[in-house]
Amino acid sequence: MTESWQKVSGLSWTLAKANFKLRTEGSYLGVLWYLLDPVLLFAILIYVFGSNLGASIKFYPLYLIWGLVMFNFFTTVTSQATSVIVNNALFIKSMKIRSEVLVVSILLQTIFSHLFEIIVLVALTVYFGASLLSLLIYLPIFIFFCALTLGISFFLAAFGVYVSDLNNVWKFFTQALFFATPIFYASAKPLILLLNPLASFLAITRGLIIYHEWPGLKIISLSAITSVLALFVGWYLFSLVKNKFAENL
Amino acid sequence: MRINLQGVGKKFNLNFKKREGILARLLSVFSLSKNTNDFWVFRGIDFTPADGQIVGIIGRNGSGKSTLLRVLAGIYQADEGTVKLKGQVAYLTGFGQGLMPKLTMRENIYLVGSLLGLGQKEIKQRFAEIVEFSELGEYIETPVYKFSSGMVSRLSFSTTIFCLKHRNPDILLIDEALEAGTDLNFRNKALNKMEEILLTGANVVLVSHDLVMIEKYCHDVIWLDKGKIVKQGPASEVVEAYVKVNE
Repeated sequence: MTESWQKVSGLSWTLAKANFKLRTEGSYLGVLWYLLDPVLLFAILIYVFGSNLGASIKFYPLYLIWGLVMFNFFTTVTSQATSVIVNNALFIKSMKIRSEVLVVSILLQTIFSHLFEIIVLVALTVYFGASLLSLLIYLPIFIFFCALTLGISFFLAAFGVYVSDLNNVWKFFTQALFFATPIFYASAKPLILLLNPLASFLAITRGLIIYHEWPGLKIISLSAITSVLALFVGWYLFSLVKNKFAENL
Repeated sequence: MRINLQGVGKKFNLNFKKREGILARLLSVFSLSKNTNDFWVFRGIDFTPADGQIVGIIGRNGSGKSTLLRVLAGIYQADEGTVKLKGQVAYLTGFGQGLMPKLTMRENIYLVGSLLGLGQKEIKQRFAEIVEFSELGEYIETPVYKFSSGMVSRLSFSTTIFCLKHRNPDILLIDEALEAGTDLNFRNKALNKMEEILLTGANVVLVSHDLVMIEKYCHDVIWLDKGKIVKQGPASEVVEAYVKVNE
């Protein structure tokens, strides 16, 4: 069991490294492309909402960038997951490969680029004179956030084998989710926190890191349970059908 | 016995619609019409070669050879019967899988190696041998899209073979993969290497249309036609009968 997990993680790591290199290779901007998306959106939103909607929110730029960066991480991983199995049909049909590896490698690859976004976050945190030490708290939050993202990705990856336009459907869904999540506006409606796990993750992260406020045990345990549950359910559904992938591709 | 197949059958649903849109999927779920049209690729295959035997599978296109091998490899699941395999299984179908043209030769060796189930350290151990065998030592840091097709074949053959050798599989399944599209010099070298692997005492199942190759290496041959075993026995006998029918 431990050996097979080593293999899974080793292969995921190699694939992630290869894909990361492929994406950044051949362009002078390289990794900057990863940053461009959230940074551009950040600039636009600051310009549009900075003086009205954001005026009532303390440290609005920090508030906004945390929302964008975490949301960006979630959508990057999940939207790639919708087509990952189909894109690797050749592998799956021609070798006995653990298909979980393909999903995990997307996560790892996106963590690489996430690290660059964290650098921007550090710069902004210093600029606003907030405590850098509190950034460390992000690590445990991020682990649970990864569990949530991975669980949903497993589900989408498996579903994408049977439905050809899932990536379009998911694109639409994440667009709606962008507005349904308090990313550029503030919301403390408990219902939203309950229904939208992204919202509660954002609330916890912002509370602890930007405002040094304890978000409350209720919301923390809710998020932890949701994410672990998502991981298990997603992984379970994936493993139910993964042996049939080769025939269905 | 490392390989034990009893009454194995595999069916495909001919009405299966590959990857429809989400709307069509939903409609077909709610339409309730049972839409199956099963086609058995093969049925009732019993197959238990002695340990260390090399078994060939021959037959016309569409007779179920490759599907049988995929069932053995665990890529497809059997729909009836039992498939029992003991030991490490390696499945080889053609070369050049997993290569990414934009990556360098070094990166590709690591990538293909890990796809074939080797750890980073193990690939490192084999790296020098792979490069030496491929005779591409000058191009280690060159991206593979700059390679000629012959060079790509050399690279993928060398990587695959040395990784296979390292894993030392108990069961080796080969689907039409003895061809390496390279020059005479490398071809001979490659065949020798392949022979080395075939003769390590692993159970080998070899699917091929190259009857000369089949007769040369296989102890037993199975002749499949329309999913049934037509004849099974010593290589020369079965090949002779097969040639007669197809003349």
